[in-house]
Amino acid sequence: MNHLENEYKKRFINQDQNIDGFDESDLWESIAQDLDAMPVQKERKPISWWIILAIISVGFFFVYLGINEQNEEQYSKEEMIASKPLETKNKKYSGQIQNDPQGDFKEKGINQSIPAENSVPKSFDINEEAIPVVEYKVTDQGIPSHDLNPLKVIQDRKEAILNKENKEMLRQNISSDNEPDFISNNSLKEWANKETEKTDEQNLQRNNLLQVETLPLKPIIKITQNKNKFGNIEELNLNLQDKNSRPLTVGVTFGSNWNSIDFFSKEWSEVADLKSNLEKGRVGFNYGLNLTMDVRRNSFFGIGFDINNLTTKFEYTQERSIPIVRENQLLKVWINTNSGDTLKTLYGDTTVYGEYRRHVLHYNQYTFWTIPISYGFKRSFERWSTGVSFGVEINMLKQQKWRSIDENDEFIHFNGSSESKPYSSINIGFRISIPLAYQMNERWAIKILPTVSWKNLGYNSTNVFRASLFQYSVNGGIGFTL
Amino acid sequence: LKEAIDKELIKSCLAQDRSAQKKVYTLLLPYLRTVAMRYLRDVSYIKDVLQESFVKVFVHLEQFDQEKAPLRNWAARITINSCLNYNKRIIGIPMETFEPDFHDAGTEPEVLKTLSNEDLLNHLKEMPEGYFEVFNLNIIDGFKHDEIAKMLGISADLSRQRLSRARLWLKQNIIKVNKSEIETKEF
Repeated sequence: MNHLENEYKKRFINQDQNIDGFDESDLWESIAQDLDAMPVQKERKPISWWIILAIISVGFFFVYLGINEQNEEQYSKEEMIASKPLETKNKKYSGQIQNDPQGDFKEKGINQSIPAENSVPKSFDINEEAIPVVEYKVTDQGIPSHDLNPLKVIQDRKEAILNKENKEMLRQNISSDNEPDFISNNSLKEWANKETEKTDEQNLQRNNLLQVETLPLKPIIKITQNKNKFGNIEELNLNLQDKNSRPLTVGVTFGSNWNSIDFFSKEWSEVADLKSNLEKGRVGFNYGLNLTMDVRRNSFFGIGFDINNLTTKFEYTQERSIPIVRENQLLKVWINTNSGDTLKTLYGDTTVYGEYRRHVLHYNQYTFWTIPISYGFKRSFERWSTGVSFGVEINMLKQQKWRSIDENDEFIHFNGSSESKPYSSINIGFRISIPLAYQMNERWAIKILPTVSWKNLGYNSTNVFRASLFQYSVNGGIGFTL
Repeated sequence: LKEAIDKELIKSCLAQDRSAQKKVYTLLLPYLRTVAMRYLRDVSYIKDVLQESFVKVFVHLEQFDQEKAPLRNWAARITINSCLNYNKRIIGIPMETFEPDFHDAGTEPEVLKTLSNEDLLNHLKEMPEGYFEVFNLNIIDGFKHDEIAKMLGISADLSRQRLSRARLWLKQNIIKVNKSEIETKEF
């Protein structure tokens, strides 16, 4: 710049010069008139409020989806897929033996043969190597004790389970000679007795879990449904105005999280793997309040209090057998082959062994109170800023309602009031966040905070299983600089 | 002035408080008037330009960010834009061609001292329009060529070219005027 240009600059820059002949008397009046004539401008809603509204809407949408999905899906179903005879007792005979001068029709007991001259043997086509399965028609009215028709014999258990409709129904007139082998089969009885003892214990446990109607059976029994949701939160201050920064920022955030829970056990590693596979992470929700402070120009310290409500989906199909007692069932019929008259009938209580398949679908709920403590670094680009923060978190497990399996492959449950908590009440975790912020003005900022955290849930009350939780969350919110 | 227009006063203006707006108007007027005088080719439009500029300032005051610049500078920029628009659209002064004499005659510092502010300003306005605006924007108000290019709707290279020619024009014409004045006095 030469001296000529310097002279111009010196004389004119930032100079308020008096100008001769400039009449400003009515200038303000004209300006005021123009301003009065201006239409009142609608206060423009800044785009940031639309963003906040969008975040809230998305949050409610996920809450709605989650609750709706749980209402529709959560159930515990128990169905009998087949039953087989177990034992017979309390036998009673009825009817009179006629035309029996030789006493050939003298009752000799259920396991004894009866002379066949005047009786019609009706043989069963039974494969003795297979365990026969007797299936009853299960109706709401139960099984009439005098009705022969419901009784049928199925050789193939798989067929009984998978293809009930196509099974052949056998009508039968029973004589003592062709009494079904499985009724008097000692080995089968022994097996059945063992199963009865085992299943009695299982029944006690089962009754604590869900109400199973004895008879008539109902195919599906619904368990109480769970509703939940809300969860962890994190907040980070990004003060974009370094020159006039106020280092303390209060933030409110909320968001969604996705979870993955894993179980570990030295002694029961297979069951731990099974538990990990059965319990799948679902969408959870977070909300919280946080305080951050600028430590240096590009670093900050943060602490907060978050409520983290997460959900996992537990789904397991378990097969079990339980005994079912049928009272006053028709066991034998003696028929005079000459006259066709019924000579004698035998009634008794029969215990059948029911094969049950139990399908449990349950949304497990966990609520954490979390205190995140983090330190991070940030970088600003005009109004935008981003960074990374690392920290620890103290987690307090406040509420839990869940179902799972124990090391014996038995269903266990916890409703929040039981003494045997599955996880430690207080535990430690770690977290990494990559915050993104937009500074709307001097004090307000919008923030989006993707976070990955790992929570050590500790050992269960029996010290068999240890659990840990990976959580991926995306939180949005606003920050106010004090 | 910077201290006089504080945040409270701006808040009052945003609330359409006419007395506050008049106070701001009073504080800004001398500077904006000078700016308008420098940029307007025809100063008879100065009241129109100032009126338009002040209305724009008050209507769009919510967009003003006090952290970036003082209100005085923000309002000056609005005024400059108004002047440029007036020069271009309303007055419609045709672009004059100017072929500079590349023999730099040099300018004596003493010559400049004999000229008043008004004389200097008048000489500026005798420049071809494009040179005058670029000279004003770059030399006096310190705008960069990229900014000037956006304001005038030209390329940054053309802005540099015009500034170069404006400098040559100024040197030649200031000396010419000054010499003619001396010659006139001798007669």
